Amino acid sequence: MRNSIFKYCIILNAVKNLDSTKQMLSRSFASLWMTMTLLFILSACTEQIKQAEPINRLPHIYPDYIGVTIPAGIAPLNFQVLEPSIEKVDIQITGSQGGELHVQDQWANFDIKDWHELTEANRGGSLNIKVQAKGKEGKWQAYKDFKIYISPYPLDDFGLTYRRIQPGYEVGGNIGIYQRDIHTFEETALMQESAVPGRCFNCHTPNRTNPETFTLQVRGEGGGTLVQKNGVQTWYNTKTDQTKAAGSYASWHPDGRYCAYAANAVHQSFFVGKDRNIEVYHSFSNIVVLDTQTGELIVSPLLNTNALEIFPAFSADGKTLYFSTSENCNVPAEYEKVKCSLCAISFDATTGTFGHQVDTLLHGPATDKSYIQARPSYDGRWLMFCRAERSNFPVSQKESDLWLMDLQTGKFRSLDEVNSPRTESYPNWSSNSHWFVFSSKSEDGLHSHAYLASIDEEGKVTKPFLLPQENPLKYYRNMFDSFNCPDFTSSQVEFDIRTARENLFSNERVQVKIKE
Amino acid sequence: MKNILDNKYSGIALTALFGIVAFLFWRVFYPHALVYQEQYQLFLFDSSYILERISLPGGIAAVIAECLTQFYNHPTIGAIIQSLLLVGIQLMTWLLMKRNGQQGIQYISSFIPALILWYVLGDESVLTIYSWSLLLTLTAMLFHPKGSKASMIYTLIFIPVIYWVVGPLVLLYTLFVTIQSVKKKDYLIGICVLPYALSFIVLSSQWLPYPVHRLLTGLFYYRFVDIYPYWLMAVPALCLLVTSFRIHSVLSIAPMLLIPFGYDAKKYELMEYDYLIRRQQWDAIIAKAEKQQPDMPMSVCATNLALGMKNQLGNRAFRFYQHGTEGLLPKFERDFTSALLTGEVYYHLGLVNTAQRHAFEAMEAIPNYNKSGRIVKRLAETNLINGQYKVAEKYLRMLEKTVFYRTWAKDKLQLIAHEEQIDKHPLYGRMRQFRLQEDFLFSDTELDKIFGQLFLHNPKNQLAIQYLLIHPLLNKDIDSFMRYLIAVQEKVKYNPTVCQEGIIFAYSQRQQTVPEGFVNPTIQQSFKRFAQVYSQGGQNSPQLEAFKGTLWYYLMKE
Repeated sequence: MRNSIFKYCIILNAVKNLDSTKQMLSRSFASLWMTMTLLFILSACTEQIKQAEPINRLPHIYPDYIGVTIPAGIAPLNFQVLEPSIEKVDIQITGSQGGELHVQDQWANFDIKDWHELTEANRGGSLNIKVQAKGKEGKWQAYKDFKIYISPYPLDDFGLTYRRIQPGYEVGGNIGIYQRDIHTFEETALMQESAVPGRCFNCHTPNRTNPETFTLQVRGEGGGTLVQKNGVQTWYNTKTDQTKAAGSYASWHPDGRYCAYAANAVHQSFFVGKDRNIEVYHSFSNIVVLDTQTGELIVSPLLNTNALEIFPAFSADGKTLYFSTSENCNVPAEYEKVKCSLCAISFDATTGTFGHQVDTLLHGPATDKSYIQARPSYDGRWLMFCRAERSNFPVSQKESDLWLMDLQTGKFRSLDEVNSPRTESYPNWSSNSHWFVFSSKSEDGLHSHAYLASIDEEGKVTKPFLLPQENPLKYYRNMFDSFNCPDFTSSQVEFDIRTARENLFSNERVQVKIKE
Repeated sequence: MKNILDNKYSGIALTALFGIVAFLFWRVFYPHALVYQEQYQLFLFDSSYILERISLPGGIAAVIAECLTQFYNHPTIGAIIQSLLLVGIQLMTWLLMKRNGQQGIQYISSFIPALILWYVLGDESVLTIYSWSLLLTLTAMLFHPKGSKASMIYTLIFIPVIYWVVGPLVLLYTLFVTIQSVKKKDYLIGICVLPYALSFIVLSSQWLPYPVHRLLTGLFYYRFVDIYPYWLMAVPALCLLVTSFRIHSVLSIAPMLLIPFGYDAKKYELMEYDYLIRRQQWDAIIAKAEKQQPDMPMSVCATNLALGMKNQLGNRAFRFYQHGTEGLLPKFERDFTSALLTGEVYYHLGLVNTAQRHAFEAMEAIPNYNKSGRIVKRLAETNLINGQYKVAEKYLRMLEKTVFYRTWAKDKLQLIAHEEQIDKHPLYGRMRQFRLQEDFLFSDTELDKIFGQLFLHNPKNQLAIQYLLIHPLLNKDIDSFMRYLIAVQEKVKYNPTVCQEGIIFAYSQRQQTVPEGFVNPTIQQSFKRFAQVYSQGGQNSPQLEAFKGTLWYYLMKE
């Protein structure tokens, strides 16, 4: 519509430049004609709703944004009205602290600038959403209004990074690592398998959302561990005589010097019955820490036992390393016996050494559960983790839920506000620790999508919202990838894929040494 | 000959003959090759799909070619398109030759590039996009103006355009312009045009996430993205040679002789088995196997499935070549062709989850990351059967954007969340009855146990019964066979020829007499003769050949 008006103004100006009498007449006629046309277009596009039949229920919308809490400045929460035979929708938004927005379109498709202004003006307040829909027979129906709450907590991070991968089985297809500006709809690929054929890579892990320092791993033959600091890429071979595999599932120490990895071998087995598809398990797993300053690998006997140590995560102050550990079961035969405990060990960054004692925070076998993927918040207050019935890989566990531990009191609870009957996993914190992102298979049980939710000082968590898209139904319906390991990035990731590809295919790696 | 070809109708007749032969070649002898091309792509009438392609060099040709390749699903239409494509390339070559002053007998030489392309297409990984890109490039060459100034302007403008439309085949056009310019002593264009075109390829590598060598060999010409088919440049090189210089027409005989060598018999045999399985032409598979014994795991697997589907495995399994259980269900490989075929067996057995896994892996293993209509259809089916309606809907919505699968998808969308309708569906309802309810991990070393579970869960599963009993026999494990047979016969009446041969063999090993009624007298007599021959002449007795096709022959001789 804006384009039509703009074109109209240009033509009108051109018409005004005519100067002869004949041209004057022509101009008057042309202006009149154009005004009439514009009025016609306007009346055809924005329909005045004289009377709408009231429907005494909330509208069915996709994604379910009813009652969600969002940060000001997030990309517009566009949505589709999923009522039968909808031709057009009319959305009126009124801010509790002022401001209005009105859209009439095939779906609720808001202008980014208008949306940002409205949400900024209503920080800490709410938006009242009035939905009216026109059916094919031309009648308008008005549904019950709903609210979207604007959090007082800002989300100033640039956006998200995630790996998109085909869900389900062994072959990953065209895996790609992407970054997404969460304030607009722009998604760009950082690395795709089609650009580095035959190489399978793991997730991109920044240092507490700072993309100046990040790591990612390329698995298998010709693989390696990439560490990028301030734009300089270093490719390591982290496999040594004492470590059985290259590292994965990384976590950065806050000072950016150390990065913890789990060195493991991951496998899959497949169910024959009807309710489950896949069981993912590790045949071994130990934790190592790479000193990126010296190229040495720190190996502690307490993290390299016969058990499986996995998913390391440094605490906010860097003095503790959280991880999960499970007994060495005879997998896949004993896949049901894999129960992870959530543990912690102290770490001294000045000497690069671990403590002599492992503390068990939550005991897996004793509670007959598995506690995995611990993620401490960057303000040191919370510890989020997954709880599943079994396994050290929650993504494939239908019952996996997010849980939260208050690190001040040691109390923990299930995050019922965000959990669904399907898989929730891969939580990660925003730089201010008031927002978290996680992947959930709540939509169809197979494809995981990225959801965001906020948390306040008391640990109160709000209803999560699906990562907004310009045309959400089209985007998510056409999307056959899962959103793996979503994480916040405080600014745009600068990554030179050409240099990375050259380094990757050159097979030149910095061989790490075990720290004595 | 020269005089004959001076007549313009002779040329038309020759081209028409070429087209007819090409049509018959694809339609009669290689329809499976056409369907193969269609089944590893999925053209969608969707803006995102089209934009994703046309944003890359060669993407416009890719969209055109993929749009037309979807019609290969119907072999007659596919053969028409394929033959018209070859004819188009020949005609374009001729028009370019004519423009360069060639005539008469030279007409025969115009077939050389098309014939070489025909040979090259024998490599099933060469995509139809390559042929269409070639045709579009030849068309651009034809419209290249003769005048010096016009030629320069045309070249300057159209080189980036042609590069974006067809990809690196723009270099064919570039070299053509170079030759033409040098011939006309227009050295400036001649020298500059190649670096000009190369600069666009190099420049595009700065924006696109692909290295220069991939852009030079084409993003869309070959199915394997990590193989750089430089040899594909042979066809454009010949186009250049034929259109720019006079080639002795006798040379056109050579590519004709080459064509049969381009089509590997074994590879295309497997492709045909896969094609027949896709169309569930079980009788045709058996007839094909009867004509020529299959001897590769995949073809043996297809034959066994067809026999099983016609309930003949228990009677005729050993009349065909067998070589262990690999021929019953080949081991899973991360490969887009074998996983697809093996998945069909699991599907018909009622192992819906395993079939789904094979279908999924096959699609994700397609080397150029394409989707497959056939596989998406199967995934929609397995998810419908498993009651995963949201996932099924996702696949069906994708198929709704196609020409050939739209009606089917719309029909199946009606089944979403209608449990009763699915239960009553002739295929999906049966699959629901066959599939196992209890979850346990699949193991390809315990297939017989899985077949046993399928049978115990639903004794009406005829294919499971046949596979359960044939599996130990293929392993030459008579004890397990007898155990399974007893379990089967407790529940259903099933005692085909192969089982009777197994029973009498088992009893003779134990030196016991077969209880009356288990083995018919003819088989008993036959076994007596076999035992006699074997005891007298041993394993190498030539008389044993008379028992070829029996279980005993397989157990003692193979």
